[in-house]
Amino acid sequence: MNRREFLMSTLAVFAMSALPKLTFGETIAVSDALKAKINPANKLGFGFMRLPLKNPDDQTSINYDLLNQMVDKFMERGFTYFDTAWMYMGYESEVAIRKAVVERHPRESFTVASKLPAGYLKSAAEQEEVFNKQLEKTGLKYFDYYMIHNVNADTIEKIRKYKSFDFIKEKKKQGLVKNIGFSFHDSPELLEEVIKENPDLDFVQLQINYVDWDNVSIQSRKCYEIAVKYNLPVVVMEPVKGGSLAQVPPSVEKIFRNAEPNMSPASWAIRYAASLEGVMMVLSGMTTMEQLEDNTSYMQNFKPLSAEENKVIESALKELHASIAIPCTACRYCVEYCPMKIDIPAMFALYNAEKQEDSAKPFTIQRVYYGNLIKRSTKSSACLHCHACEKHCPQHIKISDWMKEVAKTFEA
Amino acid sequence: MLDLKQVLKVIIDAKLELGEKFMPAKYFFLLRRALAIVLGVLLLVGFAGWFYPLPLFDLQLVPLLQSLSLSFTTLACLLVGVVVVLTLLFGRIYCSTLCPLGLLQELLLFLYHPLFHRFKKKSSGNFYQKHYAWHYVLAALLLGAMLGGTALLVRMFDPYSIFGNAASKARFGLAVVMILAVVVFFRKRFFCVNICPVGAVLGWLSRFALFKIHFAADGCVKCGMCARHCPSGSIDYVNQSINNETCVRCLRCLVPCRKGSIIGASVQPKPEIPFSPARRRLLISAAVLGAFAGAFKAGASISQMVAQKVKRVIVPAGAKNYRDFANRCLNCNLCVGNCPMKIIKKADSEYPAVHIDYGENFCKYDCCKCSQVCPSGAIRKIPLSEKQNTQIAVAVVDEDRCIGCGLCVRECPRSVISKDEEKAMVDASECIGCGVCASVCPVKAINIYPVEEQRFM
Repeated sequence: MNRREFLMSTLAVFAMSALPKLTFGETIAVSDALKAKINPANKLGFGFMRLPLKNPDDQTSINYDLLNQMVDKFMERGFTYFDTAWMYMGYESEVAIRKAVVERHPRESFTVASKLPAGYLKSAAEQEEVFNKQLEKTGLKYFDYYMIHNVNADTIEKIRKYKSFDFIKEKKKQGLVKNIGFSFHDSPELLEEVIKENPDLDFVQLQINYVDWDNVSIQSRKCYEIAVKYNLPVVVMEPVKGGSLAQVPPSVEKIFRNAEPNMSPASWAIRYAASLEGVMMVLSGMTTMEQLEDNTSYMQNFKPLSAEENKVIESALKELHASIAIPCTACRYCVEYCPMKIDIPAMFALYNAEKQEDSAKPFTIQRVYYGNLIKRSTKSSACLHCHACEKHCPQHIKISDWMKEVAKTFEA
Repeated sequence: MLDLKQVLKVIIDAKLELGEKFMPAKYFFLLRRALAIVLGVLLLVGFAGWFYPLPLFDLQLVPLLQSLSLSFTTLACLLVGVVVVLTLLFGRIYCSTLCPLGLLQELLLFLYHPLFHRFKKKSSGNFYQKHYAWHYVLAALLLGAMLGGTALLVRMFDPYSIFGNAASKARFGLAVVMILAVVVFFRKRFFCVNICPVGAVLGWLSRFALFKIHFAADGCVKCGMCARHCPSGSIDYVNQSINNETCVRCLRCLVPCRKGSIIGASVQPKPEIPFSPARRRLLISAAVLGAFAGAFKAGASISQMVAQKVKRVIVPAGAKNYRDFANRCLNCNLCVGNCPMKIIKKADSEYPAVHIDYGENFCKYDCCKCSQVCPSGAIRKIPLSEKQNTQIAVAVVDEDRCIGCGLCVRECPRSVISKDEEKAMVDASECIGCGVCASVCPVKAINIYPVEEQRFM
């Protein structure tokens, strides 16, 4: 090796090592117009979907004594945003908003977000009915934020047919709603399509957390970048991924505790989402006073993650990935050879995400994504076990065998 | 300025006079009928799979338009050009001489002729067949849906598809032909005049045809023989006018005219029948355009619905995938007749188009006849080398059943099966799914599964 070659290869190695850093974290610039819409001091929202219960088997038996205390503490610490929806807590969540928030605090001191359950409606006329009932249930004269619930490849047909976006725009005109948007769990392509169709929205609600950020199936990053591109503030849901990022494996928790002994794993997850400049609000479904106190403590004087702290998350993520089930790198070499056109990498990404969560849970968000995925790709149970893919897998993954597991997990 | 039409008229009139001297008008008819018989025989042997006169099937208008819309090839353009020029010269001669269902109707009329004498002698009054405007709307709907994405509708009305379907003894085709046999008895070529989508397109084109049939300026004694024999009821002998839009140019009228006053080929100074006043014409055009646009849009969504619903089957190489194929196949069953291995089956209750069934046989490695004969573009015309490298299905060995005899290893034309630890192993990414292995396997340990999308390797 001569000197020139040596220099070139050193340069190449540096460039390669810089590559992962480039791809991690924020890459897209947030415009000043978008920044102006966001208040960094008030980025925590109280999600009314995991409220404290008196009877753990009955979703509607809300423990109001505790909830009232939690709401008071939350507002005392300067937070104002409450998120509810038609179906949460067995249709009781909106009533809880009235009892715990609306009837106990002056209207100017809080903001409420609710959602139009477009996927569940049977006619366009029902929209009006549901909306009026929602106002009645919450005891409000208007909603501060109102969105169409769960827009995806399936529901979008109905939403277009019922002209739901026109409906909420009309409500905004009437002053019954202050800001309009939609919540979303599907592909970035569809997100862009919907935003283009409705250019006059005020915000979008997306699933963002450090694990899903680059998940090839959930694609949080791409969704976030599209929202930023169109100058829409993002409301983050699932920042702790249904609690699974609060209860990480011990090896991962060790990394977090080594960096900051007093900070919980959940705090890292929430701060990660809140550190994104385009994020207006991070929702957390809080069940206990401890959770609320923990969340509000670091969000009260919120500081975005520093470069070192980002590195901590990066190494924690590496550790999390080391414990994943299928070492698929999503190179997609296999996809071309699959006679059934199964989107193998997307299936595996969802399976890995599913396995990182608590296996006892009856329902996980991955199932929603799987439902959306099989509208675009063939479902995993259609695998012929012909092994065509395996010959082309650079990771030598036994794809056919794993596909049986995927089918068992998501289609059982 | 030199008027082209006038020049042509002079030339043609001169030739015609020569022709008249050379042979009487009715021989034009006999010549055309001889041609029709030859073409009819060629069509039949083509459907039977004995010999296929390629351009004849490729000239059929509905498959031709679809193949043009699917892949814009020079040959398809050329053939459309041939049909258009033919029609602009001679009117709807396609309908009487090239169209298989037209030939069938001519045969029926020939057979019925003695019966007409017996039963319909008295009803000598009105032979004129009314030509309804909805004919155009129907054609616009069917062709619009076809260009929009699905041929499911047009193939129920397309004469070529119906004939092919009937020629292969498929139930739908036979039923339509039976209905047609009754219709022909009572209303002659009612189908060609008022239903056929091809007839609508060519009829409209033949308005502008150079050669038209018309009455000579003098000599007609209004005997009505021409009208009586006209299969499409295009002659209004009382008013001495001929509807050149419905006339299929069978030249049958030339035969009975003793006065020689019907002229077979001449340049018309102006169209004979003033079709409709401007307002009516505008309304019809608007309806036709509207129907076309609507059907075009509907065709796209119907095709998606069909694609969602159809059962997964194996389709011939070049058909891309079973979802699109269900929308594109015209069910003429030409490939069914021409497949040497007889593995292509007709549409059934499970799949609405032709498909491959390896029940008794397999797909011959050095044959791609189905792709060569298909006129509709549903099976793309692919060379043998491409067919041999196109995966249409995939073989999967049932390891519990395999006895490791190695027959499949020997028979596989692509040598993609190997024996590993006494069991056969298929390299599924190289397998094209021809089914030889499954057909030789003594213990039925190999299953052939259709692929979602055909892959050229």
